[in-house]
Amino acid sequence: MAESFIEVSDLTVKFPLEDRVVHALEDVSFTIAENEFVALIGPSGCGKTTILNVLAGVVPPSHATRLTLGGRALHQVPRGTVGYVFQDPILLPWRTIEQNVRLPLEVLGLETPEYEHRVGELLELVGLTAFARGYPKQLSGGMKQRAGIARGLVFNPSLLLMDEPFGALDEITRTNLNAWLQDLWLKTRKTVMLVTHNVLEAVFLADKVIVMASNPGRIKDVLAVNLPRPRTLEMYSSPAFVKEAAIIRESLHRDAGPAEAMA
Amino acid sequence: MSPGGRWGARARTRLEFLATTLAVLGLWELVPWLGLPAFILPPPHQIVAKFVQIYPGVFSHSLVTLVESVLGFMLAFVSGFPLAIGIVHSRFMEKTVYPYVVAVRLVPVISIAPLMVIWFGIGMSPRVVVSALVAFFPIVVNSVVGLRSGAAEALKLMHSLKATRGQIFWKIRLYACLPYLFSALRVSATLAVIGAIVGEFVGGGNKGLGAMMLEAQAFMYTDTLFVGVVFSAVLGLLLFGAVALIERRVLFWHESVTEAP
Repeated sequence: MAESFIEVSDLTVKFPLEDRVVHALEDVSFTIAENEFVALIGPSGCGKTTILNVLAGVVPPSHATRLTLGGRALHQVPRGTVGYVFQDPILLPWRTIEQNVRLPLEVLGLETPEYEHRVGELLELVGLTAFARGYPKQLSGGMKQRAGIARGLVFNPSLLLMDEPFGALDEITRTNLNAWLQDLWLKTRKTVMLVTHNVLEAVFLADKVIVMASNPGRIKDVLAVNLPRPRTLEMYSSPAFVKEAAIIRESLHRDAGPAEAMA
Repeated sequence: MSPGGRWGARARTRLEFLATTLAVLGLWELVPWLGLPAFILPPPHQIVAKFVQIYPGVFSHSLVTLVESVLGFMLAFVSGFPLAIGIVHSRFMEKTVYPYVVAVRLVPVISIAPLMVIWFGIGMSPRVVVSALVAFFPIVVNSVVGLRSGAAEALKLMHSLKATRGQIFWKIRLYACLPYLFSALRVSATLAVIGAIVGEFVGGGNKGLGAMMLEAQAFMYTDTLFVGVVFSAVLGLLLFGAVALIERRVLFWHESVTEAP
């Protein structure tokens, strides 16, 4: 394929806030290949989530010279191309876990036997088969997040957007879920864009890390992660892993003000 | 805390409540000894005796008021909830109808009641209408808030799926509204009883608790008035309880509903 799966050139997003204009993103350009796992990392307010929101069609771009997904202009992309996993899993409390996972099928009109079958398969894949008929309030935070991921994948989107999916979880659960997410990705081979605050998470999961800076939101560096797959939890302490993490950390902190360096 | 301990604590609270009630009733029994005549404050045993003497009438009056309240409550719901849906979905209705809803809410219903009697005649209908009028406003106002709430996060999910307005309504707004709706319904259930009795006060006629109490007032049957007060409260409690029961069934998924131990 000559062109990349996602092409973004000079993307600017601004919105008014009280009496001023906030530049959430200014002239952001990047490309992402099909089946690539990309992590977006940067300080709070650098527009990471805004990039996902633009690609999901939730936030309109103020300006862009090129904005394509799978070779189509973003606004012509058919429904069901993009799956979105949110920071807060947003399960609907009045639906069972199974019904929550099925929601996108109902919305997209995909209630065919093969997709219905996928609901069961995905619940199996995220380890929630036993809770299929349970309600969200009976689940732990990690389980809810896995249900949210199943919902994001159920309609077989070609791009999966993940906004700090494990940000609210404890370190142990997060590390386990990262390993699980890599397995899932190796099985499904989606194009994934993952927003994270966590350098180790980015190194562990991503093929490519986009490092961002804030005020205005912009891209600082795009760094490849040269580590073999599947990556294991033991690799965290390997010299290669530590080196990759150091490169990303250096990029994050370079030219950053004291507030930005907090990332 | 062990289950036994909790039960012990609960039994203790109940005992304390019972003891306080008995103490108040006991003191009340002493009132005639202070020289206060029975037509001002009849002692509890006299009220009970009166009830035993007139109970068939009390029950039939209560039944009339109950039917009026339930009809009024249902009328308020079937008119109020769709109106709220209209207000939320139409800018025109929001700008034209909703301000009146909010403004009319400030009018004391008792001042509208005589008008209802002229419009709807005597008998049951004006009372049902007055009952519906009082129960109407909390349902509309809360439903509007609830339908708008729709949990902003859930809306983001639906927008990311490019859901239609109809899908967002049937799959999100309607459910997200239910907790707000039920808290209004609980208030409206007791208001509906108040409305029915106000309707009976104003509309004349000789049926219903309000009519019974008006007549008792004319003859200074203070004990009968107390019986009326108690049964008005019982009706309010009955409707409130019925709504709370349905709410537990419908909102079992809500955080406010804890699972039975």
